[in-house]
Amino acid sequence: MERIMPSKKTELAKNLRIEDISLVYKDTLIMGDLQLGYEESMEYAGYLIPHFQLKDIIEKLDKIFSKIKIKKVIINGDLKHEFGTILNQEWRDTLKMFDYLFSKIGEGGEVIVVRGNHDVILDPITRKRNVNIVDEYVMDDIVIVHGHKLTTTDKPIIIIGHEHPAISFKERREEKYKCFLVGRWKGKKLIVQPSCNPLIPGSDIFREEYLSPFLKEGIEDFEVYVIEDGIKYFGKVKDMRKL
Amino acid sequence: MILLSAVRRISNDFCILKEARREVLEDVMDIHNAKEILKAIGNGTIETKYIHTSIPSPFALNLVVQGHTDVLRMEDKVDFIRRMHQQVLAKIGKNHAL
Repeated sequence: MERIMPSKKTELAKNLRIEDISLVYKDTLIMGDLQLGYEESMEYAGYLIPHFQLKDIIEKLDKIFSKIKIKKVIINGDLKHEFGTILNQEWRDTLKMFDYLFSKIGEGGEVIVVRGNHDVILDPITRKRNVNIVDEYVMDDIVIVHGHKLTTTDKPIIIIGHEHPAISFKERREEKYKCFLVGRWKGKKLIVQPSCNPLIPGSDIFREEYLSPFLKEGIEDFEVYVIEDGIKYFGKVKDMRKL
Repeated sequence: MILLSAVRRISNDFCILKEARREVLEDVMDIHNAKEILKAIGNGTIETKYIHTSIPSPFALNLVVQGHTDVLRMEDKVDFIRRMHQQVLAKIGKNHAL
């Protein structure tokens, strides 16, 4: 089989590229929609699932931290799952996550949370670890917002989460593959991150309705980067509908 | 899908997965008898005749339709996405490959 040479397609903008389920901008890691504590929330709903979510996420992060020097971590919303309360597992796992992140970024490192719609009662936990919660975070030309509310920024690049984008194929509609979406919104570049949660398969962009007001105009011209077995560029949504 | 992903991580031999596979192979597909039939065709005990018709027989049509809603998905998730990606690359050109 002919060997396909790697191109610059993992770079979504200058110094901004995809690393597995997250984005890396210079020495900053941007990840979102972890929804820690999901397993315990499922238990209340009657499903008993082994608690492997945090371990899984940390395994993926280990790989990223081992090859890239990261000084700052931005969590783009929905760090934990429950809206109106803090479950026991959420206390444990969120604190463990913060401790893990700080151990990896070292002295002078920063962890910042951009508030997501699930992060209603997150402050009691973040206060214990000196983590700030903001509504949006700006880095040079990039603004990071969760995506459940619009922004009035003038920055040319917007990164959102919230949507949990995934795609499926006609041949196999029940299997969903997580992906990044890159398109435009009001003349700016819009990047939609997938969920970092291994238990959440994502919302099928071909079938389900869009949550974020940023995607109201539709996503036909958005480009799709599937993150399964590496990063796979699939072209535009409108062309993928024919697959 | 969430339970299936969770259970797959524990073991491929998780009892519920094993039973699901057994159910598909034995109850739905009847794999043991299918093997016997193929053996018999192979050693000539069952004779086969090719008859060309202009339209499919009711039996054949049923098989074709069933094939499209195939219950058994032996192709692995990663192999499937690789195959889909190859198809797309053929259309959009190799300069977009990663």
